[in-house]
Amino acid sequence: MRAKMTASFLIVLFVVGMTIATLCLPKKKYSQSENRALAPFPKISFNAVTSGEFSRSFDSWFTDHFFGRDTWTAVNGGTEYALGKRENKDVFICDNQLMARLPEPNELYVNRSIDAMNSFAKKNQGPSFYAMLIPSASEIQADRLPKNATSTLWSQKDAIDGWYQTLGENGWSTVDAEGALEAHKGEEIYYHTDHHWTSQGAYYGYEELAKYLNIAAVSQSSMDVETVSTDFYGTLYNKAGFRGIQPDQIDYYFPNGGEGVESVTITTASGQETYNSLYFKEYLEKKDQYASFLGENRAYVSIKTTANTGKKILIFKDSYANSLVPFLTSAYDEIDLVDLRYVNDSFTQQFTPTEYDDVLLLYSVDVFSSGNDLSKIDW
Amino acid sequence: MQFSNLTFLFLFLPLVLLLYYAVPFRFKNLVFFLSSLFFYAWGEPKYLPLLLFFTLINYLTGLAIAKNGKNPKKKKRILLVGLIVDVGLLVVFKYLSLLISTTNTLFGAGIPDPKLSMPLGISFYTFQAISYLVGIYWGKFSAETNFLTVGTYITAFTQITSGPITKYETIEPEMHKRTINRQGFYSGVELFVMGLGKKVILSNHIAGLWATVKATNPGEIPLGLAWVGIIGFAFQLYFDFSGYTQMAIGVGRMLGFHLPPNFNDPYMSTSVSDFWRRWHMSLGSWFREFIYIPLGGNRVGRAKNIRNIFVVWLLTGIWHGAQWNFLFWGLYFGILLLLEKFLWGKKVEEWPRFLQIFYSFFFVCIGWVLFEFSSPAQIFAYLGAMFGTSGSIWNSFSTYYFSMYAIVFFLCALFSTAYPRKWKQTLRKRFPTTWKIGYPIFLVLLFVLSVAYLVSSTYQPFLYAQF
Repeated sequence: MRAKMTASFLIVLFVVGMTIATLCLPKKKYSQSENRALAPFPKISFNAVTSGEFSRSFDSWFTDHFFGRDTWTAVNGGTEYALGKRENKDVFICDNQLMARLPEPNELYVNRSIDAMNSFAKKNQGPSFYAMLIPSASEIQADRLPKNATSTLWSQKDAIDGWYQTLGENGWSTVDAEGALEAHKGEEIYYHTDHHWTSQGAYYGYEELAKYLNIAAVSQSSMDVETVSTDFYGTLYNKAGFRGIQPDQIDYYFPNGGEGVESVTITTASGQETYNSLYFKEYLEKKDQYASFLGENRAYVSIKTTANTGKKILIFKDSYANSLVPFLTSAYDEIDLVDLRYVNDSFTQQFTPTEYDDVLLLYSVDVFSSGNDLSKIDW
Repeated sequence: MQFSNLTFLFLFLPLVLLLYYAVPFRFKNLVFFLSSLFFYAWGEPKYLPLLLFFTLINYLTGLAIAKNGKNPKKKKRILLVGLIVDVGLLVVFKYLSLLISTTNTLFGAGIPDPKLSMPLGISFYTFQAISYLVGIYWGKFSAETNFLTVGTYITAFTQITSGPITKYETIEPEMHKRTINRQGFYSGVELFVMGLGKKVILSNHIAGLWATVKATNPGEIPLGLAWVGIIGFAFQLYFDFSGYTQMAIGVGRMLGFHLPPNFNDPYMSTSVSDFWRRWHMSLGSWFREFIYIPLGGNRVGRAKNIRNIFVVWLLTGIWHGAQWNFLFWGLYFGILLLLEKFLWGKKVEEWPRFLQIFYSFFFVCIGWVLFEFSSPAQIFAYLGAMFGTSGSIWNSFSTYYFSMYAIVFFLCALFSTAYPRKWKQTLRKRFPTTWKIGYPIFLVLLFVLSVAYLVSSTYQPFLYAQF
């Protein structure tokens, strides 16, 4: 009875303490670690109460504002890890590194995208067409995954090979990003807490791409590297809810001593804004530090450089391209970026494909295999 | 509301206990009744009137049966009316959709389905109410003249959502007089925390294993993984349900009640009949008392006895949910029990114990397949996987998923046996000092980790920059 008494006493103390702390301490409106607004206190009305809406919202409010919420989620993540869990919400927990599990490709969307790309290349004779698909960390660094996890994954390499074959027969040169990254898989080419590739990874992608674009790749040793952050916790870190991972470092690479950029013009529905840098350092103070590469994803970005080569390139891209584009500034006078996910009209109102020397499609396998927006390339 | 909910743990229960302990005894039932109504309304406000109406009907029927105690015919008629109302409401709210959709499928009738959602706890409170009426009819206790007593019994938040189905005769004395003391509170806390741990730490975690296996195409599940998966489900179900009723029993203890036990190491059963004496005991006992025995039980000819067994098991099956697979599940156990009774039961009794446990668990697991999948095609596909239709025994896919749950899996297996309780006794007797320090730490840790899990249940990071 003594033992039960002690336990009861401690538990009652804990319950009372937590309840008082939860109810009395000031509430946060926003969770930094979850990057979302926490549930507000529900409004009381006859309808809300009788429909059960009030009690449901009250439960969420109480749980969202529970004293020490972030600590609790960390404790829970640690418990699950200790119990052997190495995957949470489609994120693999490897040794000091998180990797995303990509969902099976959406065949319908992928076929639609490839058809659109092929039709697009046929209609716009003139420029050279290049496609570059970048596998995710779980493919390239599969040796870092939890034991036996590979057996539960689909092969991105095989999928890329299949897609490339069709594209290759329809006028697209296909860039072997997979091979280039594979050769450096022991290096830190992906962030440990985010799904993107690091600047180092993007450099190897650029090195490979340069061979196809027929431009001279700037050697890494001749570039200035600036470490702009050592406390980057990316999307995977948030998603997995597991806290035992070191933060990432973000590096900027400067070919030719500087950015080599004259202007960066971002066009959105609300208008145009012009900047003089590829980097938006204000994001380094925010949650999503990767967005410091070219800012958030935007429909259209137009970059004028100081390269003076007389060449122009049009890039259809997802956010993987944002950290690769800085390497291209010495090869093209003008680099125009289209993120089809944010485009609702035909992009040709903005850019005319036939005016370019090169057209590049640069996507992560993740977005390419699951997204439905690439078909807009042929609108 | 659920017991495994932060609002319940940190607001509702503490406040109810505070109030309950503060008021003098004659108001305790009132506090219990009102908090039960609040508890019910929190989860199911729209059916609160139904619950109150239901309670009132049963209270009045009880009085009417008692009033006509000397007129057997009239008494019987009143009981019948009461039972028809009780069972009728259950049928309408729980089974109407199933009946209509089945009739429509079979006869092409276009009967519209009113799509009534099932009121929370109706399967439990109906059975409790029936035990009240029949008990009065049989003269086991007298009808309650105080509405509050009947109301408290039927709506009790301790057992309204998941049982244990407490027959009125077992709790009747405590409805009027019960000892509420510190010992009861301490034991209640212990039971509650152990139950919470079972549900949150064991069941909720092992659930991931079954979710993964179930989501896999049965044709590709190796034999070994199919078994690991369904055993995972067996654990998930057992620790969820037994954990939940243990919490109910724990809260009951804090309030001064002794609710009946509901599980007795069911996976250690030595036969299928033994399993049903150890699994959801309060339901089995209810069916035995109110269906099987009144039908004549086994004191009738063999044919009638067999009929009785089938009636009980078909009803037990369909009680579990308004889907036909539950009926098959009940039928399956009816047949197994008959086979044990008349064919091989005696043989099994001679086997060594581990073999008996294996035998019983084997058939229970097959049963869980019928329980879990709603269509025959799914059932046969999964059973096929358990007998090797994939052509493989094990693969690295299996190793990956099993290894993530291996620790919890073995903890579940361990806590399905009587060993932890035995070790607990030994520890307490042989190492009293370690016990005095260790056990509270264990319970607090269990509670704290459960709370961590519950807080994290709404962990929904908003993913900025979806690439």
